[in-house]
Amino acid sequence: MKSKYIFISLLIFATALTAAETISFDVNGLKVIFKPNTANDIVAANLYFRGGVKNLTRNQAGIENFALIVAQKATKNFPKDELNSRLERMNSKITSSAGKDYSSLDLLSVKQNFKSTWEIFADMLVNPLFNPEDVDLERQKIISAIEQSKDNPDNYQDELADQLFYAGHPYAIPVDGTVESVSAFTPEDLKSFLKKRMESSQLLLVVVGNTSKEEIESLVKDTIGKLPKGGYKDTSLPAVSHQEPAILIVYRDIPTNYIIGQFPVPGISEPQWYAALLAGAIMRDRMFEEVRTKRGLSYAPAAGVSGRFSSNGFIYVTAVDADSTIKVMINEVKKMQNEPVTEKDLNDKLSQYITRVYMGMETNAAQADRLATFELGGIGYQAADGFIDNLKKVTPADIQKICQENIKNLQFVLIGDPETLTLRNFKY
Amino acid sequence: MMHRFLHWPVVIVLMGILGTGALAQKYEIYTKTLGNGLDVIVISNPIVPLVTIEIDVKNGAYTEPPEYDGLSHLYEHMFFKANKAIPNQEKYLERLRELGARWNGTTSDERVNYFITVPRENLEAGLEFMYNAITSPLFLEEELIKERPVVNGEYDRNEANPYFHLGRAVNQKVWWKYFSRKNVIGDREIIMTTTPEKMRTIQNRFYIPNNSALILAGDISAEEGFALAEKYYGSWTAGEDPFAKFPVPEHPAIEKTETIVIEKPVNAVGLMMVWQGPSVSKDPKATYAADVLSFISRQQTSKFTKNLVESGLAYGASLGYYTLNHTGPITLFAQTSPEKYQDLQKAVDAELKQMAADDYFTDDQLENAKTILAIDEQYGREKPSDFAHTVGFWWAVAGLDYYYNYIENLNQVTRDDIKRYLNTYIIDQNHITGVLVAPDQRAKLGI
Repeated sequence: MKSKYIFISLLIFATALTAAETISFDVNGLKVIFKPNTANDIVAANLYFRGGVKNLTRNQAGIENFALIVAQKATKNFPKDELNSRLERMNSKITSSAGKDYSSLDLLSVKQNFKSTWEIFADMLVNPLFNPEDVDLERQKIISAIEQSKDNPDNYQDELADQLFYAGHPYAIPVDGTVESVSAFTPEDLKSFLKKRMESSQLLLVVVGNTSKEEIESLVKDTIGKLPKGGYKDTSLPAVSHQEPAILIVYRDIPTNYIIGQFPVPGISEPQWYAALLAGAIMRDRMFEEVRTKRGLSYAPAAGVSGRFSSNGFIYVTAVDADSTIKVMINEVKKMQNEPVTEKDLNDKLSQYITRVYMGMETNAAQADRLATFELGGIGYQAADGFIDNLKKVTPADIQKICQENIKNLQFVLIGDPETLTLRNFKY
Repeated sequence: MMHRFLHWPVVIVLMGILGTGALAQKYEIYTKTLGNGLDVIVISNPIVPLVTIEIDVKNGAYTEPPEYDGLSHLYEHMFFKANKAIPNQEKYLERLRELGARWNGTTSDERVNYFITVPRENLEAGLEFMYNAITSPLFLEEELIKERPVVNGEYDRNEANPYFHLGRAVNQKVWWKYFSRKNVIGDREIIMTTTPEKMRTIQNRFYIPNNSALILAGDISAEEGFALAEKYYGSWTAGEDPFAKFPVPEHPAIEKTETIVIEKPVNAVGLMMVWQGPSVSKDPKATYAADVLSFISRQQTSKFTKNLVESGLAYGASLGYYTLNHTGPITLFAQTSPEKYQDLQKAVDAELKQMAADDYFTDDQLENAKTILAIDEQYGREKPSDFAHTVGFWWAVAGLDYYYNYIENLNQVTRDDIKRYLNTYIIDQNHITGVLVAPDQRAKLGI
């Protein structure tokens, strides 16, 4: 037997893990949430823009995504090559993401490089150049990505499912925009849009990692801590309700059928949200067992609940025999509506779900996103701490009630070969 | 079971252990080999109260002659079914729920892995569960029959993606003689007609402790991990070295440089060029040079990015080497419009010709590439449940010593090493070019 010791710096001992408390503070009107983590040398700092697509008109579809992408290309104090060269030297990551509920510019660095990276990050927000050549280059890429999203059936199905399920709702506005909207934005449009968004009332900064409140305050004060407050007020999203089942079929010559059926469920700000999450997880297991394990009808049956603030549940499958598969899936839905799950089933699923929650907290960046989701969802970042306790309060009756009240008038999208379908099987 | 095929189009990012003082890590990795040959690797990182239990096996496409094409993958599916302790998959899944376990498995060219993540308090029960699954699968006929169409369904999903067809067509040419040994998803006919006997053959050959590693990552100490590994896995019986008895044949060189066109309904043109690259065991120095060059080309300031992407010719472009022990592929991938395809191909050809020039990259870019690789490794370690997969990959493909010395070896890469890599494996070497285009756009390509 041989034994080999692999390194490591004995000076810094791993059990220095801290369960330090999350705090929040205000820097000139900008709310900051900070969770220290000295267990590694990494810092994640994300600036969130509140509101997401509900701030946009159809003609503005994609403008926030586009503006955040181009803002990263060059700034007043960091010309393009210098900006890229500095980030490469540190291997610091600055990326953007745009979503239905909020967008963000995200920073990830090792702690030694946090300050230097922050200087670039803040300049992207405060002094972006929006050079016409950068705008045109990124425009080409975004338009191509929009067009290519149709090439992958899963991506295309997601887009169609949003259009069908959220028709007339702000979520029907595509985050990446449309070919038409993205084609029309000028550099000035992007610059002006981002400038209007840079008001502290529209922003939230979340930092998780190996830094301190003092360092964050100091960095923010000199940069994005000088923004006007503005008067942004969050508004609630309209409820989604469908009076009839529906199916949208897109013919495509592929070897299987991609099927998704959606229904509304309580969102993060509603007390039944916790029951909805567990109901989705239990339903996913049942679909897996009934469709895949027992019958071998599909590789990829699934069910669940989206993490969006105006939430939806879904059942999903790819299957050649779409009729038989959907019959089995609808039957499982009915079972969940007609019979309460057992205490054992619920407890086991809860245990598995808690593991999933912890796995979502392994990185600083994931923790930052988690805190932001609770804060921006309207229930306060502190609710993240009570999340597991609230899951534990869910009863079998709660699960049954969620299924009874919400799973109806399913809105289906199918991509594949519709000739193999009996449409009445999808009407539920 | 979501199966990640760790080959094209993903450019695999190589990760090694961090060796630079300024970037010192706080996570501890310990290894020990049990008496039966099982390598035990403990990664201590108590960030959350979970432990990931992973078993890696040196199995995968590279062990598959044509009559076994895709069966490492099917075997991986069968891992999650009946064994001597659990009578069927329903009970198997029920037990996973009782353990609060998140679980999955993947099959790739030179590694198959199985992993569960459990609450700290279920660690021992999780170890026992995995032991039963790895040592005593039953391969029940009825479960195998049900699983064949499931794998077929996975195949269907792959074929629904146009880029799958591009990758397969190119790979059939690159690995022309032993394609089954690079074809992870396999052959439908072989999958649909396989038998429990074939599963047992795979088990007997490869699923032995001296061809496996147990990785424990998360809220666990080395002492505890080693003691539990001995307790639960110490009695697993060793077998004959499968690679001594069934050696993996060497892939012969690409016969001639060729361009193939794949027509599928797509909204861009995909360009894929593949060369046969180095093997870890034969030319490790070239693998380090390959990684450094890949990370030079990835930089926004690089000539590669400026000439191909910032010029507006491609929506994106990448050059990467996938580290393998039995000839890893070097892949250049780019996407463009049909109108710009010809200009892009010319620019790519010109780029390849100048890569060995002294001024192709700056000293800063060379050093940045090494820093990027080192810090990426630090980012990668942050998530113990994923880091277990990374360590397992390196254990299987290159050996842990390669991994431990990775950063140190990267730091020694010189311009001459990169030139040698380019001249040996890329410049003027036979390769296969694949072009994916919509049928109604093909005429615009001029090929």
